[in-house]
Amino acid sequence: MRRTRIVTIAATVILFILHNNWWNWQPDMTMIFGSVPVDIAYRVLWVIAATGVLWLAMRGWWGPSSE
Amino acid sequence: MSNFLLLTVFAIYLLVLILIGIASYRKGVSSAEDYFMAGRSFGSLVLFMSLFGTNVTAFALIGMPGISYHAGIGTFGFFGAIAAFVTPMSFILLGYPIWNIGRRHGYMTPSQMFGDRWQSNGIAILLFFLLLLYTVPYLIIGLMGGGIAIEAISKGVVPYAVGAAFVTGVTVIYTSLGGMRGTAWTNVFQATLFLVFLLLAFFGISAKLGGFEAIGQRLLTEEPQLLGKQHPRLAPGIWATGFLVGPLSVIAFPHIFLRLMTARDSSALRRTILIYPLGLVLLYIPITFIGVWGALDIPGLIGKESDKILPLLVEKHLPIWLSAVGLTAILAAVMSSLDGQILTISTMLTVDIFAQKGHKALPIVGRIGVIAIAGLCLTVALFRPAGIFDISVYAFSGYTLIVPVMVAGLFWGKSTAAGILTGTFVGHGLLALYYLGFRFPTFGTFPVFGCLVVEVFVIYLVSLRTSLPSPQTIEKFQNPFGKI
Repeated sequence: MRRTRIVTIAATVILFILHNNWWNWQPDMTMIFGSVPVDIAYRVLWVIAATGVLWLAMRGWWGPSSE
Repeated sequence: MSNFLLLTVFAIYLLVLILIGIASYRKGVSSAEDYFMAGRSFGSLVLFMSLFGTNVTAFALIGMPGISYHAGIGTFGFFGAIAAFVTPMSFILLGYPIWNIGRRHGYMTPSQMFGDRWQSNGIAILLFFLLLLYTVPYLIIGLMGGGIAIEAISKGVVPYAVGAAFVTGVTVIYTSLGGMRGTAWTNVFQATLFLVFLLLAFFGISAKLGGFEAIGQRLLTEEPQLLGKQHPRLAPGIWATGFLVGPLSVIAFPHIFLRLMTARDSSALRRTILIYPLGLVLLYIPITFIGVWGALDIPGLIGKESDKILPLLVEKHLPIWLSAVGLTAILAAVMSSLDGQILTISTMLTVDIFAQKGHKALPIVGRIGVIAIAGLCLTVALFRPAGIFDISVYAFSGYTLIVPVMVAGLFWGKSTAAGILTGTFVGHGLLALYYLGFRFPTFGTFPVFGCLVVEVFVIYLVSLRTSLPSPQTIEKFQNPFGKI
């Protein structure tokens, strides 16, 4: 559990840095599939990764699911 | 739009709420635990929808598209994506221990739990006062929003005061009848209504504007600045500390605190937390796009005028019946928070004040409390006090400053009553001074960031130099993640 907690904390720091993507503050003129702005696709991927970190955090602090 | 159709949809909506209230009253038993906590019996679906419905206010359907109209696509990252991580993470690290310890010792309110943690009436009273100070303005704004929505729905046929009174009346009926169970069940219906409407509006409006690809190309050529984060609202310092105002403060909302304690078991909480990000994405992506599309389709709205962009687009592009459902969905977002807030304040008054005086916390007291609080807030709402909106901005930051008290109470055995009291006074005092006009430097961040740092520092320093509560008291809060 201790290792899971450390990984969760490290992943949270990385997520925070990726959330504050200071290197990409200008408008991105690319549309993925012609209609999805890059920033939206980036944020959706970020949320998917964040959901994984939430799952890790539950394992790290609550223990494995009994289900 | 046909007034008759609008009022019919609206009447059906209100009737469903009252029927749910009656059904939950019949299911309930006559105990305080059942009335205020629904017997701590909610499974994943009801728990998720009640948390989600309470968390999402009219701001999501009105204010958010208004902001993305000006600030662009970045609005999703600022409000939605970060909330989809920070809020559920706070449920994992703080919500679970609150649920766990609340169940272990029978706590119902934050004041009761944290007053007991340090054996301090002062902390209980201070928390009670602060939570009341931050929650009541929201409640009043909710009632005002209800009155304004009904006035708009009826095109002025039903005046503001009658609309506000009507919203209050219906909310009081199902909240006082059903208690926690009634508000949670109605939240399932309300959250479903506004999520389904939003998805229908998202696909319906995009189709009318020529499809996603055509809108994308127009965005590139006509409003490319909406694809970046140049708007002052999204400045780097504000962006970096934005999670403190909103996503983190949610765990300190007393109406969320109480709802977390209604989970049947840890599996219900686990599933709720894992679907929470999906719920927020389903809400915030359509909302962000709708605001941005509005800037293309109805340009020229200045300042707060853009708050009307969702109703304007719906009215312009969608069938009349969907417009009627849309306006009702906005009202659903208002009422799904309102009921939780009214019930929570009634619970706090019953448990923290009435029961403390040696009386029994009976459901009848809670019901009278619901009616009294709603009546008082309606009276204030009828005067439409202008300053109340300023208080609500300050309140969001205020909730954030309650989080260190929760963290210290649950995880720091060396925290003391004196440390908590002093830190809380200093932190909340600084915040109040800032909003009263004493503008200390914030270095481009949210003002609450500085207040939070000072508050934590004071709690730490004073706790190291003052005496601890009894070992038996600390023992009660040991092992917050332990199985029960």
